[in-house]
Amino acid sequence: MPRSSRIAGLCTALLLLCIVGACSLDSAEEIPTVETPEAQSTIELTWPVYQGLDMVGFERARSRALDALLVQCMSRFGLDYPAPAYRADDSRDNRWDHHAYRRFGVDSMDEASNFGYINPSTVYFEEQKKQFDESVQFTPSHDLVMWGSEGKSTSDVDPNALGDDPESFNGVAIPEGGCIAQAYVELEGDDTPASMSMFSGDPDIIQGITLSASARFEEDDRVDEVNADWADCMSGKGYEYESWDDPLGTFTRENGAPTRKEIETATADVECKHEINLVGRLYAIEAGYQIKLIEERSIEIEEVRNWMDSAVRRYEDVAAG
Amino acid sequence: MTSNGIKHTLHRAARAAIVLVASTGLVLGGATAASAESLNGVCESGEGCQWRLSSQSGGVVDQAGTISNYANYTYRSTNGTTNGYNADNRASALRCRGNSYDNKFWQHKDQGGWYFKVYRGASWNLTEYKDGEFDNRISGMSWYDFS
Repeated sequence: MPRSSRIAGLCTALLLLCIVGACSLDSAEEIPTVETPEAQSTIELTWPVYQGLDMVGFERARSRALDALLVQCMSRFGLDYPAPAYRADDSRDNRWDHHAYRRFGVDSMDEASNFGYINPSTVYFEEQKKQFDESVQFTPSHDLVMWGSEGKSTSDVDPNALGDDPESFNGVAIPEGGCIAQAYVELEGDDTPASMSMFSGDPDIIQGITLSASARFEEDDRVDEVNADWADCMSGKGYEYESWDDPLGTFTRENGAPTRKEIETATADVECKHEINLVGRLYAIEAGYQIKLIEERSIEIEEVRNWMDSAVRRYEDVAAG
Repeated sequence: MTSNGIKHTLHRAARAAIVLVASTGLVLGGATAASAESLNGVCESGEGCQWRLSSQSGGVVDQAGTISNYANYTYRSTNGTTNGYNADNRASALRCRGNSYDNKFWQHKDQGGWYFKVYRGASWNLTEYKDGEFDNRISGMSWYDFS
């Protein structure tokens, strides 16, 4: 489909969202008003900027391709790069991959009753990383070749491999920024939009819109109303807080495990969130800001959407060797 | 394996990890054993790092494990000693030097709220991004991967 048609399609979709009543323009602030969904957890919802995007699929394909290039690059220096083993795509279907997981704190009764306010995904990935780090041999030589001059001091590296040239290893010139920078250069090619470049120094446009909308959302008076309703509910259960993020980081843990008091508070928290539809109401407010930002940058976003499809195919080809 | 099966497995794994942490006496959010030496004032491979000031200056918190609460940390000078600045809501630069894992830097403690995804190899100055709107607003850090 021509780019102009797809841009028109995106604008039409946003307009239709408004026409059918899911969204309307607030003339005072020009922020679209989104119909409030009933939702217990953020993972039941999709931010407007993520609609129609398989961001996890994109990130995963890029990560896999990056690892393939790192294996190739490191091998040129006679080094094994211990790339992680990737599972089949469908086995990644879990709540922790969701882009809005924990956006409004704990919202799952299952997680609250087991972990309190602890974010279980972070515990899981920390343990996975720890096991991975301990299972592979990542020497100072690996460090130097993978990260270039940022790698560890060359004094730790096998002197026989360094030779006279500090910019080379085993007689092969180390790319500027090491193999990881070189791999990104190869992955990006010539067609990566600036707003998605790893070398831009900023988060990509999708993440940027999400973050900007979050910042504007925080200044919206309607957020205070939702928090007040939640605080009233919590007060009724014997807990005094002003907003949903107040309990975070306030509990002392017994060797890393939540106390009974933390679990009781977290479960009351989730009950109140569900009772007042906190997630749905806050989502509707924040989504309005996202739609506004999407409208302002619709051409760039459509360019990224078009590019992503081809990028994923290219990444898959790279990963397949 | 079904979606529910995966969810159950992951849930069980997280629970097992917490039990492991509890039984070994390690504090959640503290350093884990890794090739990099956490909190030595140098952002090494395998670590997620945040600096007090832009352009990776003013002291660093370098960590191979997760951080559920930056209030429990102070910035380190390059010789590994603390410079006395608490790290909570005081980050102006972020860097992911994970070899196989990416970072999330979170708005709130206990890894909640919005987050910056910092892919391995990426580094950002928060003072320059969106006119500094997110400068000094990070309270937690975690790892993730796509394997």
